[in-house]
Amino acid sequence: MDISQVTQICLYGVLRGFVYSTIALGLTLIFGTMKIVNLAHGILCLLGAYLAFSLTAQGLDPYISMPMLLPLFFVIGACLYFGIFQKTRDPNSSTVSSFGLLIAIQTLIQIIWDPTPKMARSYFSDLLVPIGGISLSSSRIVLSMLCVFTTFLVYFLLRKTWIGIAIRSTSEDAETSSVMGINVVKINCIAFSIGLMLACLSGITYGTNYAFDPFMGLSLTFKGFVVLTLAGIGSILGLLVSGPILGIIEGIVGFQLGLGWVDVISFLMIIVILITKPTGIFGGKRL
Amino acid sequence: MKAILESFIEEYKRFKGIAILGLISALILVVVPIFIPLEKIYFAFFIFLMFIYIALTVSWNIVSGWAGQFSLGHAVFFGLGGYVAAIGLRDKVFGFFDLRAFLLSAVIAMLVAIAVGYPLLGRLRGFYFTLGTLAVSEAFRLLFINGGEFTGGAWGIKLQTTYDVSFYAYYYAAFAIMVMTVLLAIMLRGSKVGMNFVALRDDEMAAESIGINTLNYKVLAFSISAVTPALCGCLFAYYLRYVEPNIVFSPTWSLYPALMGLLGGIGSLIGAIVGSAVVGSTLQLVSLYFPAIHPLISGVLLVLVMVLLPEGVVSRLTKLLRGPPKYFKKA
Repeated sequence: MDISQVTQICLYGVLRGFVYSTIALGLTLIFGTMKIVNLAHGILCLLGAYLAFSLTAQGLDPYISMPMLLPLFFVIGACLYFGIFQKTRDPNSSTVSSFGLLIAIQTLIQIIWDPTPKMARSYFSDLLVPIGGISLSSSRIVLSMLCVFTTFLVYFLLRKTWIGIAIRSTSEDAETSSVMGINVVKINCIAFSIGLMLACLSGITYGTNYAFDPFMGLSLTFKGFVVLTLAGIGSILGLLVSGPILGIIEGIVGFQLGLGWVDVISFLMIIVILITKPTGIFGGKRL
Repeated sequence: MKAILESFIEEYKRFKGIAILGLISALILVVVPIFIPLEKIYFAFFIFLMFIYIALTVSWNIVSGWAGQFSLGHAVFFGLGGYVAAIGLRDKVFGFFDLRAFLLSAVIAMLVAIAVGYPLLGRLRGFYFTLGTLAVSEAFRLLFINGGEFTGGAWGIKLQTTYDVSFYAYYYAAFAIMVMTVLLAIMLRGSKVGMNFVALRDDEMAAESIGINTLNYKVLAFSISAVTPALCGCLFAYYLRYVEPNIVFSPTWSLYPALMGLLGGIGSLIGAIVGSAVVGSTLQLVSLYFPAIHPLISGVLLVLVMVLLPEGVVSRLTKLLRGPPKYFKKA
């Protein structure tokens, strides 16, 4: 590995890592407020990617279809919340039902689209930007920056707005919040739906820049959880650090050991982090 | 030995009706196949799969229902059992359908359960443990895909043999595994060990304060429940004559027992048996009549069960019939 390869791996890893940060951000909102381990999160990201792919075939660029898909995912989130997750209050049963959702959506994707790897190419995908001898697709840069911007936006939403304060107070103590006049069901629904919008955003970003297939759902969810636990649950801006860390580690592992080992790393990392340092790097804080 | 016998008699007195029903159905399942050609009917395969499901669910119930550690890691032990059989046959360590392969897979599964259980159970509580077991099972699947020559990679291993085994052998082996698991569960339920499991589930701190080493008992429950899936995996590999990481380490092997246990009512032995019979037959019917979309339907079924019947069929029925049961029911 010479120095140009190292910089290339790092740069690619950082850009890829911001996508993982956005996946983890959606998981943080859902997990932080409702204590739901949403195993279907990754496959919902992929659903967004597949919808963007189909719209690309219709001539719609992912950049144009994104503003159309985000509200759709908000509605899907509200339906899923009221249909399933509001009724399963026990964390175990919500985990199992989200797994059921994962299997159902995965099969649905296999039926509607075929299981071969796909990629939703955008107009900007072929526009290359040279940075220090490395050429990068401009689409990767733009969409990764969009992910970073969204993370700051969500941070601002949680800190400064009325809804964000209500979400944080619900995540801390739902009972007391409802006594204080917060409609907990509504707030949970909003948090879940925003989580799914973030899933859609990360899915489109992933699908525009990388190839995807229907079987990646669980591993994407686990990458989100790795980033989440590495940053520490509740740390929003920490995700922007831990995401690129995972991206770079994956890049190095993929380069040195082969691509087959990339997913093993994320599963092993989540076990190791949970066992050795369950609070993460920036953890111990509340949402 | 005497204590074990006494606990069986105790159980028999307590559940006289169900025990007699169970003995009669066991007798039917043993005797009837002698008079009919098993290879000819699909229903025999259906019963064979049902035995495996019941064994998996009852063993899952030991760690998740009684010791209260909700595990989604059964696929690890199932897959290990399958690979012990396959690698043993390929490298000429064991023959085909060898009893030693079953024993070795049980031992390996127990050792892996202890090695994985101490760090996971020692550090993780509640749904973090669930997440950890799921991560372990996925890590095992990917490790076996990347294992190179030894594990056969993503293509898996074919169990090549000229030795022919009739379906009766598979049928009775599955039946034996199921009966062993159920007897083990009954034995545990009346014993001090089983009581300790329930004590640590209901209140871990109180259990620790009366001198139960909760970590050791959790790991014990985890490793006891690892034996049955390993045996089932071994048998399944011999039946399919083929192992592949995506089949034997598939998360469905940890998920179906959880679904069946939850449907029947978590923490109840009869619930586990009834749940696996209900879910298993539904899954079989679905895959028989709608083969293309059967994972879709099982996924939807999973969600529906969680939403509509969170406390399980058996407890719902018993509540309807005679009020809440007092024995071994989660508070």
